[in-house]
Amino acid sequence: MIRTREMKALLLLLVGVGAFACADAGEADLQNEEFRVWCGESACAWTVDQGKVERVPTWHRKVYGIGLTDDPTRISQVLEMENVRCLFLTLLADVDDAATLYWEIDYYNDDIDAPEHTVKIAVSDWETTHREASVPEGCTEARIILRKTGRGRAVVAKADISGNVYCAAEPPSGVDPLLDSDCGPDGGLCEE
Amino acid sequence: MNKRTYQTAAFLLAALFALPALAEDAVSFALVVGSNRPGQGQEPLGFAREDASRFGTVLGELGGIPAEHITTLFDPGVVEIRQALREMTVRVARRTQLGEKTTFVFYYSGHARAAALNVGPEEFALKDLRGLLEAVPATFKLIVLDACQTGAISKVKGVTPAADFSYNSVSGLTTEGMAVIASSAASELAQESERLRGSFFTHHLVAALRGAADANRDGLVTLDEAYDYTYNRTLVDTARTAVGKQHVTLETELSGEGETVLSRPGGAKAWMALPGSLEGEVLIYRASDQQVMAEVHKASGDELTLALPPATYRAVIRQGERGFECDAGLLQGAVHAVRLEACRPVTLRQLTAKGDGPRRREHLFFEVGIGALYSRSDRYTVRLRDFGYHGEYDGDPVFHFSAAAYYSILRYLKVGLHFSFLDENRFTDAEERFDWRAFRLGVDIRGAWPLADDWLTLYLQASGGLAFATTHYRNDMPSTLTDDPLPVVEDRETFWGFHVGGGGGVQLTPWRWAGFFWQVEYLWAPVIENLIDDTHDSGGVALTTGVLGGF
Repeated sequence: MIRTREMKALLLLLVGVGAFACADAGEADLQNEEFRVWCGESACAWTVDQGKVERVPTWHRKVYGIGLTDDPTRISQVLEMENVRCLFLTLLADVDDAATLYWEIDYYNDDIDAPEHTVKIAVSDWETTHREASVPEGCTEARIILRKTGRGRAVVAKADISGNVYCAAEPPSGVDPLLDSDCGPDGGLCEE
Repeated sequence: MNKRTYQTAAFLLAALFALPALAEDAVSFALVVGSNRPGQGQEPLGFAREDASRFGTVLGELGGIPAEHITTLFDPGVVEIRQALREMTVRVARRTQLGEKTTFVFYYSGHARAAALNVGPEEFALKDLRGLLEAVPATFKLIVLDACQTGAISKVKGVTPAADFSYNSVSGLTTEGMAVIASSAASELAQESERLRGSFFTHHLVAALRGAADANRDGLVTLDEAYDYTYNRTLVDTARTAVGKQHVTLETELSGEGETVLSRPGGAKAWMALPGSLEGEVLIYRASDQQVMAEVHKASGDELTLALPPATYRAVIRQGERGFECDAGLLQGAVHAVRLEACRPVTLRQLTAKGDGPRRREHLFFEVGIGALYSRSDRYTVRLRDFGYHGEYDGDPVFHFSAAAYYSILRYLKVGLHFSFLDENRFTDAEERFDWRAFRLGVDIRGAWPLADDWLTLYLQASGGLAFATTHYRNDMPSTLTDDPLPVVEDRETFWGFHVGGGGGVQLTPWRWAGFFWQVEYLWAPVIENLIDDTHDSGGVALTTGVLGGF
């Protein structure tokens, strides 16, 4: 028979584990993050804000990515968040040498032309890259933007966002919260 | 000492003190030719090469011809035969000029028509052959011709003889100091035997030279003895076939030479003695390779002694409905006497199988098997995971099947046509599913090592050929993104490529025509490609077990 003291300890342990699990959760999901659902010539869940996009086969002739063709081209999607202080991006793309791809975040979705977060993402040959961005406290809505500049083409096959209540990245200071420390040796993340 | 021992001792003493034979006091040479290759309108022969090999062997063992004096040609062209005959002429002439007696033996097994030997697609006119043989300046020349065309089960030699080969050849070739033995008479067809793995004629001629023909038991087999034995045994055996009787012919034109000794079984290295009391049909084959050494009819009375190389043999004795199987290990310089009381009785069913000779090599057999295939992860599958898919069979074996047909081109070498499963996998992600299957169709080259009387066979094989794969992509589009349902996306593709592989296995054949096999094989087939330059290596390690059957 389990004694009362042991029962209390077990309950505390369960509560603690549950709290930790809850604290790790944050809801922030993009729709159609793998660009596989198309409404005609447009990706159903993404808005083309600038330039032109096209449906481009990726590894299979019936599995599409989104090709950012014009210079510049910008697509975005509004992301609603709850209890999120950090956003994690997983991006799978193939970017020409003559093109530059950026991940931008317009916190509060108040001015798409002045995103507070901008990182340059240099990927090629369908590499997967991971990035992280801090979310201002109290922010429940943000516009996630993928922007391409340059004459070359960038094809994005996957742009997956997940959220967390903790964040290792510095919180945004208002505009362009890029840090020198983010410029890794691979050049994957640099100041604008 | 019993009667049998006295007989054996007498045989050896007779051989020891026998008058010098022609082959003994002469320097002997031999040219032995075996050609399975068919001429126009003919089928390949099955055993002409093996017949030539056996005849050459017995000449070396018992005919007193040193190995370096025997030239053997397999499937030669006319030019090669001509060249070999000219070389023999020179070698014989050198010894003749030294005042030595010389013997020359020419043996040919292969196709022929009335006026020529068929050496593959070429014809070697008998007129030309005669000229070359006459030019060999030997004291005595023995010409043995086992020339034939082919048939179906008992392969027929001479399906449509325009004229009788033997008659023409003998009458055309016999000269002073020359004897010609030919395998058939006018209007007859010479035959091969699947059971004996050779022609009836050469088989019985070789057995005769090993001592089966030594009627007077003096340890020597003369030309007349060899002919009498070969004539009778060939006639008896071929009388049972559908093709019909075959009369061996002998034409001699010899002067003042007395008995012409062809072999000296009494001077061999080992002997197998069949006692005088034994009566029946006796088949003797070498245990290691199932080579039939002799099939003799042993009459009650005199002991019969056969000269054989030291080895382990098996003798199968038929006595009406009864049968016996005897093992005989022949040692150097010793006579092994077969004692019926020491033999194993075998049933009529076993007797039929044994009496048909050693377990025959199946020319054509089939294998059907199932098993497990362990495929690999590669750049292609990693890429699918990068794109968000999950492999359903990652690391797990998948069902594998195979079917193959093999043909034995040699006892130890088989070629096969193989069809088998090569790969299967499925990757999924929410509403998407992508799966594939791959197969192969190719050729196997298999080297086999029969063990334990062919009950057990180990083999190694290499494979190569076509590979093909089908892929199926399906996306059940989610309806949450649009008001109207989106059509399901579905796509199928087929890929073609090559495969290579290799492996080995074991065959167990407890029955004459059927058995089991176990095999492990590694296969590689880079067939399936994606649009971003990744190729999937289908194949992997395949473990297969199944059944085989042949005829």
